Amino acid sequence: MSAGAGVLNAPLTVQGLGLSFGGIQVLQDIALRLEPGEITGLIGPNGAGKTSLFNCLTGLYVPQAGNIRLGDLSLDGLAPPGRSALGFSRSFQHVALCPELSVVENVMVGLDRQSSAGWLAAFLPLPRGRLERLRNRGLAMTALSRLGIARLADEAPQQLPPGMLRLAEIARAIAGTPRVLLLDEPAAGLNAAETRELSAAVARLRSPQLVLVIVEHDMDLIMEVCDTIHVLNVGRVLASGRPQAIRDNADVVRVYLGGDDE
Amino acid sequence: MSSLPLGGPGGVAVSPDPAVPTVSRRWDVSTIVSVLGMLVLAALPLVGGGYWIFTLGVCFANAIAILSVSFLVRYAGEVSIGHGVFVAAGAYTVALAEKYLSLPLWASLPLAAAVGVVLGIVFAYPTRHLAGIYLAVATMALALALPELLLHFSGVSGGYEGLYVKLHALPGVSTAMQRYYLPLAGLVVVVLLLRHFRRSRQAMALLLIRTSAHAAESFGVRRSWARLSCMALSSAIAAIAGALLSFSSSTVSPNSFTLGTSIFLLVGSVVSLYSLSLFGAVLGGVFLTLVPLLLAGAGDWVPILYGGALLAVVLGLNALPARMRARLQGGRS
Repeated sequence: MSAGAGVLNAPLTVQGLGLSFGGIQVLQDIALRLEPGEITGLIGPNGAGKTSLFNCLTGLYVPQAGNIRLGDLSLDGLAPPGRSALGFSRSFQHVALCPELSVVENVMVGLDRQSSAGWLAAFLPLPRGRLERLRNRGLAMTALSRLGIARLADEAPQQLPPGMLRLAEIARAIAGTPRVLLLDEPAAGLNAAETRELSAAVARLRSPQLVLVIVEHDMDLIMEVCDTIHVLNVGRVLASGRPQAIRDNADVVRVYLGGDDE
Repeated sequence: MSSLPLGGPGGVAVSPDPAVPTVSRRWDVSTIVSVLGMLVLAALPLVGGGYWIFTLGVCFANAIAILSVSFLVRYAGEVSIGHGVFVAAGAYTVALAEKYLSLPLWASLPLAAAVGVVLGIVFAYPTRHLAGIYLAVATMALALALPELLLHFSGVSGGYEGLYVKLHALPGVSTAMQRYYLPLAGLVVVVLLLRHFRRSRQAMALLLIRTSAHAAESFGVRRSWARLSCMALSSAIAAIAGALLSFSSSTVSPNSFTLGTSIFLLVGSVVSLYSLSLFGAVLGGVFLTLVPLLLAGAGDWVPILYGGALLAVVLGLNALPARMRARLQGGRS
């Protein structure tokens, strides 16, 4: 909403990124260019630094070296709420829904940055607050429908299996029509049928303005939906390229595909 | 409400527990209970009178104070043992506004709420990075300092004796009725406002940041905003309680706002299961105000009996089935 013209249809570029925790180098000299309109996969064995890279992109971690830019705009020193205002959105590896809110209410929090109803509307039944709430509920229901779980809107999260919670999280991430969408292991906990549906839903999210990045262990999903794949290994980029090229890359097969995937 | 068509073909089968009522149905039942309870409370002065009606007025004001503590627990996940200070701020605002400006309650009540908001922010800003036991102890420091502060400025605060609140708020209504119905009306209004608040975007953001700070921040919710908002609102509710307490008891003095007062507000909140509903708040208020009176004849046994009653209520309420507890807690949409 509040993003300037400089970041419209802009790629997300990472240059020379380095992150360490107490002397342990987690990410080293990472350079990536994540294009809008593409679906980018980020794969690698456990501990390769995928989630750490996600956390650097969303501002939860502050890297010690390098920089991240959205188009011409440097994101240095911008905290997560600031990046959210630019259109960053994400799902989490460990489901982070509030148990006291219904599924649709959790999704509506994803629209908070686009909402303007003030404190008066929060306490008093003013038409403006009611209209905004109805609009947000409608948008949240649309996001849930896109993932095929609109019927769960009024359920409490505790009553749902993990796979459904993950879909609800993705619905929250897409509800606000983000510019940069980061999905952290969206298929974890889903069964084969659910993963196929998720795969179709992710493919439908592709849009010319959206930088969409997925961290995932399910290679079928990654190979099916991604245009470009970056392989991380012990904090470095091991290989980048089209799915077929990654599948045929001998280094990748050795460190990752050979070990974890048939 | 949820009539949008399913998105994916052959959606994944899920079987929600049929025994668990939907959220909206739960509200229907609790609304009926609340309305019935309110009618009973509204009719009480017609059948009874005198001392008990006076005590119930105080009880309703205490119930609002308990709501302020429960609000902080529910929306910020924090415990306060210093909320007596914010209650005192509201009470002294009303008393001082009457003493110096001759303002009656209907004029000084909004002023008290505003003082509560300001005090809440003044306290929340320096403590915004504290959580858990550290924040609780910081609130305790406030409660410890307050009586000394009031005695130090005895020229304004009236010292040990305190101040009187005598002005009528409603012309033509007897004093006893005003001291009963105004706190009751205040309690009902606060409960209704909180019920509406639960559906707001602010409430949803606060609940998410309480359970999952990283997730909320990633959607633009700031932690410092959350803490300051919760503290300001909670303290405003406490100040409203104080304003009505001073009106219903017609006097304010330092020994009404000691550390013990703040601790008992927390006890009341625990007894009410941190409820934001009318029933829960009145239950907490009754426990705080009436149980000591009912036990008054027991002499030295009072603290022991009070402790026993406290244990019985807390254990009893926690033994209730989850559905009944959820209904009692209220504050859900």
